[in-house]
Amino acid sequence: MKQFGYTTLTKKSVNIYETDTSLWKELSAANPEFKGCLSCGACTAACPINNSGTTLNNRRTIIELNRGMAITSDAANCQMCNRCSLVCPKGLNTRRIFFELIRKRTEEKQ
Amino acid sequence: MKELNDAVIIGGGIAGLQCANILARRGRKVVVVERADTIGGHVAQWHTCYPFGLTGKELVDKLTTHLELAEIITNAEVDNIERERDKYAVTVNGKRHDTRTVLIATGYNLFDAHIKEELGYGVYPRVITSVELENAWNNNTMPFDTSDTDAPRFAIVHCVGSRDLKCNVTHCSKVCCMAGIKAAKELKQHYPTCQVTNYYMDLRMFDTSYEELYHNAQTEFNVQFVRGRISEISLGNKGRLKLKSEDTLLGIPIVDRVHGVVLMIGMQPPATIKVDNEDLAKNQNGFLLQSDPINANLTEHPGIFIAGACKGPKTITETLADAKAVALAIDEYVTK
Amino acid sequence: MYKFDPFAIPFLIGFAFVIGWVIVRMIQIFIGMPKKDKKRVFVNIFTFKTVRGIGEIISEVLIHHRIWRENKLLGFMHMSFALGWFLLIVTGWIESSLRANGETLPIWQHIFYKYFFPGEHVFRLSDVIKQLMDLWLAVILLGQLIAVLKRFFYRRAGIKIRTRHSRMNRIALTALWFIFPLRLLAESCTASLYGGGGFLTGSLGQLIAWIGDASFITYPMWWAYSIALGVFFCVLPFSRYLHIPVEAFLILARRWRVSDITTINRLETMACSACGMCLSDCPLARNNIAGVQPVYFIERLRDGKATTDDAWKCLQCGRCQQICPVRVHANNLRQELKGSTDRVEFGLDTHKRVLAKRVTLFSGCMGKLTPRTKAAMEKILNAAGVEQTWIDEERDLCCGRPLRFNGNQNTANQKFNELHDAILETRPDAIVTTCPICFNMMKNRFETIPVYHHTDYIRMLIEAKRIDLERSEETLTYHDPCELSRQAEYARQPLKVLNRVGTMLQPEETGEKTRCCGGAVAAIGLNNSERKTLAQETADYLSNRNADKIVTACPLCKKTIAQRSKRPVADFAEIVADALVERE
Repeated sequence: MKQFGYTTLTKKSVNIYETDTSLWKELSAANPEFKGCLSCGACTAACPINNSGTTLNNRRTIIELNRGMAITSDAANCQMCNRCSLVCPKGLNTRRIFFELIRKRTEEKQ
Repeated sequence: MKELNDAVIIGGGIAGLQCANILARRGRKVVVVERADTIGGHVAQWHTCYPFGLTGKELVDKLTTHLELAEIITNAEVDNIERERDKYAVTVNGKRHDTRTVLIATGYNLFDAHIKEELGYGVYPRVITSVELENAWNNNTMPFDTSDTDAPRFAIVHCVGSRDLKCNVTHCSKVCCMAGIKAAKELKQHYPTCQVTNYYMDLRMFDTSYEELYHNAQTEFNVQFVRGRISEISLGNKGRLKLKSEDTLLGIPIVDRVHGVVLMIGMQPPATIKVDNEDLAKNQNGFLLQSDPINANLTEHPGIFIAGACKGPKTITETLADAKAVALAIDEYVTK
Repeated sequence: MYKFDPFAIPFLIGFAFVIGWVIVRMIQIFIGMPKKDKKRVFVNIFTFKTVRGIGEIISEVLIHHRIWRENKLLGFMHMSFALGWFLLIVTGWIESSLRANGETLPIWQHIFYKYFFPGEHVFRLSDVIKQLMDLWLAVILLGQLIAVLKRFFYRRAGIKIRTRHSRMNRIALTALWFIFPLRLLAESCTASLYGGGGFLTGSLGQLIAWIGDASFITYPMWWAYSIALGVFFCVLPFSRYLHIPVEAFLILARRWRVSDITTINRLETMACSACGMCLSDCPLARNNIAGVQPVYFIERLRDGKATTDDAWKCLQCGRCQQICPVRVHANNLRQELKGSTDRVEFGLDTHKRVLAKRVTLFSGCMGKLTPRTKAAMEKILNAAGVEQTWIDEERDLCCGRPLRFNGNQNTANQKFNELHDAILETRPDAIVTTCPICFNMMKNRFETIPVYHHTDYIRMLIEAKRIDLERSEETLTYHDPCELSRQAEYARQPLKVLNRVGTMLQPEETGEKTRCCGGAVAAIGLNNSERKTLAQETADYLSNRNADKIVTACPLCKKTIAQRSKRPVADFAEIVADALVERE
């Protein structure tokens, strides 16, 4: 579809009214603290993995789950060092989100 | 024969002084009790006060026009407040003062930045607090040594000791957003070649003039704003400080190397005051609680009033307004 | 003299079942062992190690020496059952053998000697033996009385939290409690009819004879005794009493240096006696957060009902391992459940100790959040004239231990190798880390280079008089990090250093009995409010002694306690750095 000299790519907007947020509902019911995330980014700043060039991003994962979007972080990269929780101003057990995702994946495999 | 005062005001900060000044002007007998050796509280230390640009000293002077009519006790600790029918006995430094009313205007304590060890306060001399910055301007000294560079970089870290469960603080200290931008502007004024970056979680520029300040800092002073909380500060090479944060708007980690860091420290609740050996009611953050939704200065004890930042973080403007309100309330109570 | 009576059948069934079961299980475990360990068993079986093992079996399985050390009353109770029953069997065997006069008797005639040989018998030492038999029975009954009273007045017995046992355990317990009173009654009734018996059964027999004719009740009593034994033996493999036979095998396996973690884990699972000692001092039990203490968790493990949830809330502070009379390494079991092994040895690095010239320091991921500790270390090492390189100043390195804790062994190994290579590149003479968690991971894993925790290294510097310290008026409370005091078994020495600097005010639970700060990396399942409860408890406990400062040696403990404590918390290195005396 070529118009006016530029190419339109795949649709970029997320239709938030039709995304599937069931995973968020499930995870946030078990860990209600995640609902209180301020998105301040202290967790990702402290994350040694995020700094070494992976896509692992705590803050983003929580938002992606909340919006029902595809998760861009590879949970398997998390080294579970708990630094994110140590610096989190809301005291979230932030690494748990990756832990739950890994658990979910292994359960699905079985 | 013991004389009966109209009001004993605990706290000689701007709230206490404003109220004492008004009451004294109206001929009321007032005693001001101040813990430190000079009056004026925290505000007296500030170099400039937004939005009117007065220095703290000037502002305090404006509040002391009629204070020669009031009794001021400095270096004083309140030992006890006891109720005796319709009056109160306040023991200050062992001496008893009888009074119709008591105003608690104890203000706030500053957050101790040592508690956030990862920010390196007390370890790296180039990490200072917002209070130290004001003091430096007051003393006409430069807060940071930048002799080794032509283009220094500074960072201003917001929300140190505010909205942080790790320091047992859940409240927002309200004024630091504005004060942080003010500090950025001042740094830019003192170090014209510098680049200042503000690291914030949320910028709460709630007033008309504050939004203007923000806009002004962005457009005229080229202050950078990064939405991301600093996780830690370490010492990099050449004595520069290495700051780690995430630019949450871009979703990528950010490393900054700067010549100086200013921590915007928050407000903590003041020391407790006991009436009849019982603590006054407090909210979940430890600040004093008003007992009446309409009258902002009442407590559950008739004759005991509260005003200013001891009720929660407040700007100077708000504090002065609140103190004026309490002066009216006390005046009415005493007349009754 | 061969006699048989059908009442012995329940006992015989039970006995055959339990012996068969244990033999089959042990053979299964032996077959499952890797070749290397099988070889070790054969090499070590006829050595002094076996003798030592038997010594330990006597002191632990029979005398219960470790329980004695913790709690005298409970020690006596356990000993009275174990040693008392053992002596009862041995003495009874001697008695019946002497009576049989050289003939071999079938087992039931040994066990039910009084039934098959009623009345007074005079042979060599018979008077002494019959009194001894009654003495052992009396000891057991006294132990049982304590056990019964303990159920009701458990606080008096020094038990803070009571164990809730499973149904199988309660059946076994009931059977066990019936065995000895029934034996007493059966023997006494027999004595009332035929005479004989010692001070207990004899006297009780005379009393029964005085009351009336007991002939109608005697035979049922022997039946009941046999049934109680039979039931106990049949339930034993499925109850906590399985520890009675298995603990001996576990002790021997350890003595024979069996290193296969799965084998030891299987044996330890069976050897847990569910005594509940691990319950009283577990912070999760004390604060009602989770019932994942070994006493419950191993029970579920045995029944195959354990889930990973049993492991995720645990702090893995090791307090339960330290207090366990059977030395069950519950953390290994938890790690197995999580799908990785921790495999961290106890004790310090075993390399030759050197005061190195060039030291590479590693602060670890947590250590980077405590810059005061790092600054203090720099000051101390500069004063001592040690050349220092901080390996993770610019790079983010990880020892991999947190990943191991959370079940990802392979990535953990990669992380460690990365760290290993980065450290070797700096060519150090020694490696020092300020984090006990990293320390335990790193020790003995660098081929020729010794690894120290900074408390240990500072102590070496002081002992070698490389730095001088000055005493101050400060009072200090030292909090032992669990990774240092329990895992690295390094608990007394930091106190010795601190004693030279200030006055120590130690709480009751200190050293290897230290409380967990609540910050542990392992416990991924704990949320903020639960961690807060744990940290508050420990911070309050440490503040109780009203010392000026709380001192610790772990960045995680420091951060966790500092958040909750009203008193300032400092690292060991900070205290030493403050006390440094400048040299000319």
